[in-house]
Amino acid sequence: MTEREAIGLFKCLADKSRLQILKSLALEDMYVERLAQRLDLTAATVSFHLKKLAQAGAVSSYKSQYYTMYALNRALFDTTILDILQEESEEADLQAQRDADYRQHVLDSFFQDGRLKSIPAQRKKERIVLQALAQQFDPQRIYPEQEVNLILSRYHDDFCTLRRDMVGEGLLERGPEGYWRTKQAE
Amino acid sequence: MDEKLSRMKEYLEECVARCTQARTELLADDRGDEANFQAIQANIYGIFSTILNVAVEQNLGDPQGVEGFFQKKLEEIPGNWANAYQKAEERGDDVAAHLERLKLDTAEEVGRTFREIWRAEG
Repeated sequence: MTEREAIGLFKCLADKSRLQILKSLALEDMYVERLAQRLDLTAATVSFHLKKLAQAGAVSSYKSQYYTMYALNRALFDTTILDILQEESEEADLQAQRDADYRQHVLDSFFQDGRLKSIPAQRKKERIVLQALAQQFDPQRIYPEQEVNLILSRYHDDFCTLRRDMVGEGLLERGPEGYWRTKQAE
Repeated sequence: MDEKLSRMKEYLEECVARCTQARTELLADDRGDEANFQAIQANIYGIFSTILNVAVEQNLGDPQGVEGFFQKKLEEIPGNWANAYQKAEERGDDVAAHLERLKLDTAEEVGRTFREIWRAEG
């Protein structure tokens, strides 16, 4: 379901009469006059609502003898709201671009001539900086602490804090044999 | 003519009041589209109420003149709605067609009531 379709469906459902129609159709397929009598609405009003529900994909119709029967589109209602939220956003590319722009802005603010001017106080910004520093480590290698310190000292004098925070953020992992870059840092 | 005129005015005012009340209740009951139907109908009754006043102003003491003016408007004004209805039907826009049909039905009802009142004996 696209975002546009999801918005259309939610708008369509936000109406008491349409909800009553759907509840009726959840019991059994019905024709317009039967729904009108059951819900105390005019046939024209029920038709209007059914058209909107059909446009949103919530109901479908079929011919049965002289009647046009309406049925609930049960497949649609088997979709959970979480399924809809987990669909990739139509704005995903735009959002990714905004995220990249923000990252670049943070890096430009904190790095000067290849050195870190200061360690960001905000955790979100610090993580962006630490992620950039993590790229200096080969993912296939295990580094002794001294070498980690040496690499980080190229960027800031407080390499101990950087090293510790990189471990804290899960960008580097530490073992008895040394440090290595994690998948989180990629 | 005064009695017929006041009956017609009363009818239109009652229709506007009824639709306005129904709209408020439907909105409170989360039935937005049906509330909109009532607003559309109230507008149409309001339009014909205004037209009736103009018909009387332009035809003082002339019941046939009032009738002729009002009937002419009853034919002219829904013309645009009839066209819009036709176009909506052609492009398969059932929702828009319903709204235009509602306007046409309301105008027809006004016309029917007008003829009943205006042509009644007395």
